[in-house]
Amino acid sequence: MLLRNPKFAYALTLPVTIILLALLIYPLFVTLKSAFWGDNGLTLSHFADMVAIDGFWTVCRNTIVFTAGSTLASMFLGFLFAYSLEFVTLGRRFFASILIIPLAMMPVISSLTFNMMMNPALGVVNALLKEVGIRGPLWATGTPTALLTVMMVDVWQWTPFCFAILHAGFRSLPSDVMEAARIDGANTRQELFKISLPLLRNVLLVTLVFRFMEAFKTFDVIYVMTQGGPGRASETMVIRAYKEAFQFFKPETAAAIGVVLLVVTLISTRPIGRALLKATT
Amino acid sequence: MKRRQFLMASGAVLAAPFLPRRAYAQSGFNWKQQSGKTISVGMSRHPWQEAIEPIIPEFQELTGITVKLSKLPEQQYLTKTVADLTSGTFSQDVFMTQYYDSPSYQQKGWTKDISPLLGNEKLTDKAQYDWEDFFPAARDVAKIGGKYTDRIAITAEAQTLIYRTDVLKEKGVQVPKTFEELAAAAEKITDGGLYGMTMRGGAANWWPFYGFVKSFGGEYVSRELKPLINSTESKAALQSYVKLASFCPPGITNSDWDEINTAMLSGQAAMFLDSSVIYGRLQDKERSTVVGKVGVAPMVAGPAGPHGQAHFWTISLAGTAAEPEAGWLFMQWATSKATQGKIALKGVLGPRSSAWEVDGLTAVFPKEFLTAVQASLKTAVISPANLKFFELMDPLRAQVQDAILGNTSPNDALDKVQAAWAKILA
Repeated sequence: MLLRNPKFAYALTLPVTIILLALLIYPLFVTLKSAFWGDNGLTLSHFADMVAIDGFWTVCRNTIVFTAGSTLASMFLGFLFAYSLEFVTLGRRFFASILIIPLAMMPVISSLTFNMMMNPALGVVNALLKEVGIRGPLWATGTPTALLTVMMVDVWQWTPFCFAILHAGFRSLPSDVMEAARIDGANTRQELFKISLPLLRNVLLVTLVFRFMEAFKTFDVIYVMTQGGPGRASETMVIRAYKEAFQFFKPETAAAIGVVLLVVTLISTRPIGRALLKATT
Repeated sequence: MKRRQFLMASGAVLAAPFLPRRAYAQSGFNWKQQSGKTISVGMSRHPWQEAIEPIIPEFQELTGITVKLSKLPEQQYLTKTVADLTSGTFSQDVFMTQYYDSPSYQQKGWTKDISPLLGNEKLTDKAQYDWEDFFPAARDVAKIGGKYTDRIAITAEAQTLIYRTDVLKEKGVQVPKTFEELAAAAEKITDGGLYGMTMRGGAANWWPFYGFVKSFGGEYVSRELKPLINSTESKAALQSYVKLASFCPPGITNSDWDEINTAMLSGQAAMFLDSSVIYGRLQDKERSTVVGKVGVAPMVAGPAGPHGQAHFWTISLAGTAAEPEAGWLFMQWATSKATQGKIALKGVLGPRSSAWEVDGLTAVFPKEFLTAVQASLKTAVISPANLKFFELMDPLRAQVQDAILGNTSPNDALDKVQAAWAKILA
């Protein structure tokens, strides 16, 4: 019925399209207007204000470090878990369920819990380290460790995401190809690098792009654990945009930051999108 | 005769329950004028909220107005209130506010002008309410926004020294009266699991720091909004702050009101130089591990005297309030002499002179506490409110944290703040 009547198919998608447009296009329009419109019409002064904010370059650097570090760490760990699970014969489903649990928890809840556990004076982590004779670091309250701490919690929360997709990817590898390779005498390493990885190329790229976008947008963990502190050690662009909008009452600067984030996301994900469209050999 | 006597007696008996209500109405004021309405009230978790919540049913009975109360912990309350106001989804009629937001709230019309309501004979029982009963500083806070009167003060707090009597006695330490004595005492006490002090180092560290700055003779900004933060006096204040921070439990840069309360309540720290409001909690048998071991002294003195930070939480009528008159009746009742007196007896002191003299107060607060806080309030200061308040406090907060962690010297820290403020206020 749908093949014969394309107009009906379009009509069916109309309600969803209208809602999505309203939720996406209208806020986008308002943000662009805030960012580019000043007292005298079109202006770039809000972007100049943005670059002039206190600690701007530290915030940029933190954003890059956090996003890159978080993405790479959780991709690597997710891949490790997914690949290791291929060798497990008994209880594979059990391990898979456990590994997904952090993703099912609300980020705010897990961030609050980690915050309590990693409190340098009262938390359980430093107490355990003391038992072993190590003097625990300041975790979220010390300048060199704050960014690392929030990255760790973020990786804990999002590795299950990478794991889940990669696990599905591994499970969907054609078993006849793998068997043929084994018969031809390929060892485990060759199997992984020469066969599994190339076949998983698209899955890896999709996971990477989603994980990257999520890491770029991270707010909950940082806000709950450090609010960007101490000093500006863990402040990222997203946290700063929030402060500009809701604490300093400067929505134009926040909008400028939003536009920059959007442009960076579009630019960074484009090569991945192109790579996905290229036919696999 | 007998029948007349009987009729008079039965008349008196029947009329008896109505007499108290008549007494309230004797002043001519009709509390039931908004009966049947419903108002939404937003509060931050605070000893004041804990004291008034159980008596809200009295208000509901008095006026016939239903109250829907929503409350959140302080940090979350402040975040959510601003977020809702900014996005236009704020649904409370009456809500607790912080006075330093007043200029920006007034600019955006987020609070209503209450002077017409205060002056309206029908809506305000002027004689009973007695505006002059409020402390002068509290009356000033009502208009601190600059444009109109938009808030009533509900608490009176001052930066006060609170200490563990048993710990000080054990270590042979006298109650500190100056910042130097305080640092020396904290150093002597800190040992193993017990820390000399607990202080704020988190997002709100600018609050107690203002008390330090004024006590050393410095200032944040001038009346004309010129930054004055890098004066020698302010730098000395930061040096003192950083020194005291070294005697606090680790993790101070995440430590705000809730954390310093916990540190005192759990016996982790021995001294506290922050808001006097904590006292009620420290003597509460259900929450505190140090009941009866707590002493109070006035704010310690710096070279320019003891000038602790004072604070008045306030309550405001929302600009978008659906029921402003009913909301005003709630505000009037909550800040009335009778209610604030009741709240004082529960351990939360208000910004009214009458609340400090109510009968039975000395049973709740030892004389030592009342004298100490009154002494602190007399010389206390309040941070000036202005449109860019939080934008200014952010770099200050960041540099104070860096100074506490030793990443920068106190002098460099305040020079950086001065530069940042000059840019913001330019």
